[in-house]
Amino acid sequence: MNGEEEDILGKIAEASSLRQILGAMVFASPVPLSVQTIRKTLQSISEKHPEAGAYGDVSAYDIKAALEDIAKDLRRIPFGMDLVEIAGAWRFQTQPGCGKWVRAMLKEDKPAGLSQSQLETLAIVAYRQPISRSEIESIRGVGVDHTIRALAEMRLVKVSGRSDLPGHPFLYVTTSRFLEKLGLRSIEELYDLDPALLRGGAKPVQEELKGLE
Amino acid sequence: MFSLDETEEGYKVDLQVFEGPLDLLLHLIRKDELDIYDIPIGEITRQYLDYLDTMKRLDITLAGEFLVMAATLTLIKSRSLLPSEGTASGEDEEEDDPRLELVRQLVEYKKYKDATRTLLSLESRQSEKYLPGGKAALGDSGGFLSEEDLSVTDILKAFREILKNRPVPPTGHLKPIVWSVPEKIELILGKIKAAGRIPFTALFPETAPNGEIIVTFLALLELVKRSIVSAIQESEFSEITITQNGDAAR
Repeated sequence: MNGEEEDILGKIAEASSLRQILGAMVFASPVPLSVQTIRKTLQSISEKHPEAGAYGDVSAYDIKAALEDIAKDLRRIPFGMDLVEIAGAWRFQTQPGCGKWVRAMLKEDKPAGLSQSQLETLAIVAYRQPISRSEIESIRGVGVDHTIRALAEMRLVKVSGRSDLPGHPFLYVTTSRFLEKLGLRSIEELYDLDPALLRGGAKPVQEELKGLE
Repeated sequence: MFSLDETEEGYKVDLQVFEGPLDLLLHLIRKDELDIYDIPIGEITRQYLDYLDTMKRLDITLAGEFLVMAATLTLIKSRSLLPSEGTASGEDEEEDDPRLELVRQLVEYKKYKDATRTLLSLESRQSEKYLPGGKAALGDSGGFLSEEDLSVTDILKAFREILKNRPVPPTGHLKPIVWSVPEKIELILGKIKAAGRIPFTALFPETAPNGEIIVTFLALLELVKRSIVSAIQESEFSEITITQNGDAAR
């Protein structure tokens, strides 16, 4: 090991708390960074450079806690940026209130949203997954062949397998890309917004009907 | 939703687009602040059919599902007019309510239609956020292309790419054989000169490709038109023979 390298490693060791390292890694990563990737990186650097790798045995829980910590601090200062977890991976993104200005700076138009039929179909898949096309159609009362294909093309839904029903139709589920599109941490976060819509949530309807009789 | 007001300038049309028959029915129910669990089926059916009628007058094609629902509504309406068989006990009457299945469908659909609003607000909130480098936050960051998110369609797509990019195996080049009418005219005249008269069928060997047969026939027609040859049939269904005209004259 030459002197220059030692010098750099010395700096690494002195410079960085876990929070600093994590913040820098997420910032520099071209894609959202998962806790597992961070953990593997920390482990591999500590194997190669024991003197630098003080965080080789940091648990996933600690990494997550440190990231939450940074996110909390960021929210406290008016900085226009958030550290968020999307579909299990972390990334920095600008705050929604600044959208107008950022868009003007980028000289961009507001991105086109999903159509009503796409949103309706997505909602049904999201809450009832895994679900077959014919089940979606019976809820919406219209054909969804075209819509489901468009959603699959956008990677918002995917085929997860086949049903045991006659004809073994494809079963559709939502993807990580779906969570990214809506800025959700996990599908559970969506369910928490409206718990009555889950598959089991069909019950209240029956009860309501009974109540009327 | 829709109105067809006759004004001095003509018709003023205000149309709302519906995602399907259930969407339309929900609109009719909401518009009149009706109880979804106690739909006045006669009135709703009338309004529903009115809408379909308006669309028809405007030459707008509706999905077949709208017509199926019209039939269902009419069926429910006619059933509700019939005296119930089980009038003896009140309970039976409730169970026999022909509207029940429709209500169930409507309530179920309404749940997800309402959930659409949640997705829409999440999406529009997300559309205001950007990533370092200026990418839209709701766009594809490329970070979620993990194996588990690959579906059969992706694999198929990849396979198609491979097939598309494969070099095409070298094959022999087949030159299309082209026949021309003048060429065939020469040929026919040559045959007639040699034999004096030739049977029609002799011009069309069985093994000749369709293209050649057609061109030969065209050549023959041309010769007949120009009165260079004659086609003679001795009797019905007998062989046609071709002879040259003015043989002696030449």
